[in-house]
Amino acid sequence: MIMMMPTYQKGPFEPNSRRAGFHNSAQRAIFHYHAPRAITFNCARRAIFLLACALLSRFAVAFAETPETAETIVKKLEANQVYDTSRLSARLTVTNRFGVSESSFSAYARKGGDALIVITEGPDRGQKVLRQGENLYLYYPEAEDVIWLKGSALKDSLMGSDFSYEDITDDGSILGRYTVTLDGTESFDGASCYRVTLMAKSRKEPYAREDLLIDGALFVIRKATLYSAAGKAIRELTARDVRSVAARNVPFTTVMRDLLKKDSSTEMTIERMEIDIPLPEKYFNREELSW
Amino acid sequence: MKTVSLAWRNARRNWPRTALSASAAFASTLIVCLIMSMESGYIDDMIANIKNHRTGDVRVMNRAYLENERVMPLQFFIDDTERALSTLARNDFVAYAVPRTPFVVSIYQKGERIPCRAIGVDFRTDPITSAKNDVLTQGAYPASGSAEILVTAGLAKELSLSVGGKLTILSRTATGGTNGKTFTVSGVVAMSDMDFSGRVFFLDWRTAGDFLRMGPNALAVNAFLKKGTDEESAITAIRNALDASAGTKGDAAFDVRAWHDVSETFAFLKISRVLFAIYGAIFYLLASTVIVNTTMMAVLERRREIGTLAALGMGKRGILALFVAESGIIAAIGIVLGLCAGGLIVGAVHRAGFDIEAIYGTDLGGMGISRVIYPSLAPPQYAYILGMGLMIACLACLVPARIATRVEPADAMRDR
Repeated sequence: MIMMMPTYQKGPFEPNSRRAGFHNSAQRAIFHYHAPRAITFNCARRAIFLLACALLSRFAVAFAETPETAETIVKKLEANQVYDTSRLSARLTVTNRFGVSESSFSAYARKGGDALIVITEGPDRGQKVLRQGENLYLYYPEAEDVIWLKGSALKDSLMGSDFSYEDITDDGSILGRYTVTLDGTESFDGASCYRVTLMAKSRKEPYAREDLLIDGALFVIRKATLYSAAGKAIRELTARDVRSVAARNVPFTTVMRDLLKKDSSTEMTIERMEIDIPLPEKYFNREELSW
Repeated sequence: MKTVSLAWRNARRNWPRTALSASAAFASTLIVCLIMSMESGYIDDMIANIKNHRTGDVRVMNRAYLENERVMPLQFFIDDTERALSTLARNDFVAYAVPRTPFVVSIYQKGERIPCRAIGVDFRTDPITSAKNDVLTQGAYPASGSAEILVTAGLAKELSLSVGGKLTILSRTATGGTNGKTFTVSGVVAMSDMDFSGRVFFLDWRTAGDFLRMGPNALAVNAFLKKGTDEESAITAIRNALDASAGTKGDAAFDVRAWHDVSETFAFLKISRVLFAIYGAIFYLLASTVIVNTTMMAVLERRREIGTLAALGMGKRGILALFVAESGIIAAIGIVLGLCAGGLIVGAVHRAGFDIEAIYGTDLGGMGISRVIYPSLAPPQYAYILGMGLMIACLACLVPARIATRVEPADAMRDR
C-alpha cells in the first residue's frame, strides 16, 4: 500500500498557500534576528516571540480540525490519493552501488485497481506492465507472449528500481485492507505529521506492517517504513515536493530505499499528472497491450 | 643374485601355495587397476568438462563481476569483448579464445515460469558441444546473430520442444530491468555432460548480449592454451596483454584465472586422487595378509633348513633377504599377471565406455561428469601400482622374515 496510483476522489484538501504563508512569517523573523545593528534587544525578543507564534500557529493550522481517530485520518488520506482516473509521466532514477540509471514511464490508472505502465525512455523502452486486480501482465516488444505474473511475482522490481510492480500499481486504498492505529504526531521535513501504523488484515498484502507519517495539513504520506511478515523493515519511502493537481495534493518526488541493500534508492519524479480525465478502455485490455 | 635365484627355487618348491599367494596379489592388483582406471576416467572426464563447458584453460572475466558475483551483476561484462578476443588470438600462448555468457532465465510457458540456464556462445569456435558423445539429434546450430536457440535433449523432452518450436524467455538485464523475448528452436543437442542433461539452452553470444542489454559483449572469455604451454607464464602474459589493450594497466580490470583456480570441483579431484591411492594401499594390505601367511608357513616348515644355512655361514641379513625376496617374487608374479589382466579389461572398457547413466540414472547432474566414462590407465599409473604392490608385500613379509633370522642353528638341528 504505497499509493502511487490513486483512483477516486473524495473529501477536502489543504491548500499549499497556508504553508507558504507560514514560511514567510518564519523567514521574516529570522531575517530580523540576523540584523543586530538595526534592531534593539526588544526587537530581538519580538523576533523570538514571532518565531514561537509562527511555530504555534503552524501546529494550530495543522490540527485546527484534528481528526480524532486513525480511521478519520486515513479516510482523508484515501480521499486525497484515490482517483477515478489518472495519467502521469514520471522519471525513475535508480541509484545503487553499481551506479545511476534513468528511465521514464507513463502510467494510467482507473478506479478499481486497473493500471497500465508504459516505459517510454531508457533501456527497457516499449515494455508495458498492466495490472488487473491481482494479475499482472508484462508486454515485451520482442516476446510473442504476454507474460502473466501472479502472487509473489508482484513483488519483483520494476525496471531494476527499488519499487516493486505492486508498489507502483497499488490503488492506494487502506481501510479495507489494514487495521489502523494512531500513535501520535511527529514533525518530519518541516511538516507536522500523524504517526499511523497499518497492520495488514491479510497475508496477501505486500507489507505486513506500515509505519506512516501522514502530513497533517496536506494528507499525503510523507514517510513510510514498510515491514515484512517477519517484522523486518525492508523498505522506506519518503515524499516531498507536494503540489496541487485538480484540487488534490500529490507528492511529485518520492524516494524509495531498499533497506536490505546497501546504498540502494530510487527517486520517482512526476513530470506531468492529470486526474479524472477520460482514458480509452483499450489501455486496460490485456489483448491490446501491443497497441 | 644368488639370494634371488635361491628364493625363486624356494618359491617353486610348493607351487600350489605360491599360486595361492600370487592369486591374492593378482586379485588385488586387478581390483586396484579397475578402481584407479575408473578414477582416472572420472577425473579426466571432469577436467575436460570443466575446461570445455565452463572455464577453458584460462578464464577471463571482469573483476567487478566476481567481486559482486552473489548478485550476478550482468552490467560487469567484458567491455569491448571483440578487442579482448583479438588480443588473446594474437597471444603466443593461446591456441584460441571463445566468448561465453552464462546467465539464468525463466522460460515462460502456459502461465508458469520455469527456471533454466542459458549460455551465450560462439557456435563457430566454441567446443562446448563437441565432446565425444555430444550429438546434434535434431536441426542445426543457431545462426550468428539470430533469435534461435539450441536446446538440450532434456529440456526438449521436458517442454516437448522440437525444431521450429518457440520459447519465450525472461531475464534480468545488465541495466537492472527485465527483458522478454521469443526464440525459435533451431536444434536439439544431447550432451554427454550430465550437468547439461536438464534445463539448459545455448544461443549466439551476440544475441545473448543484445537480449541482456550488454551490447556485443560477453561475461567471460575462455582461452585454450597451446599444448605444452606453461600455465603461469600464459596467465601473466594474458593479463598484461589485456590490460595493455584496454589501457587499464595497474587497475586490474580483468580477472584471469587457470581452470583449477575457478572450479571448486578441482579440490574434490585432488582429494579424490589421494583417497583412491589409499584405497589401493588397503587392497594390497589385505592381499599381503595371504603372502605373510604363506611366508610364515614357509619359515615354520623350513626351520631345519634355515638352521643349516645359518650353520653354513649365512648371516641374519642373508636369511632376511631370502624370505623377503621369496615374498617379493610371489607378489611380483601376482601383480604382473594382475596388471596384464587389468590392462586388458581396462583397454576393453575404455573402448566401449562405461555407461554410468545406465547404472545410476541422471541423478549425477551437478557433479560435472559425463554419461559415459572411459576408464584409462597411463604407464606411470601401471608403474605406481606395481611399485606400491611390491613395496607393501615386501614390507609385510619383514615380520615372518625376522622370525626366520631368530632361528638358532643348534635348535633347528634338534628340531626345537
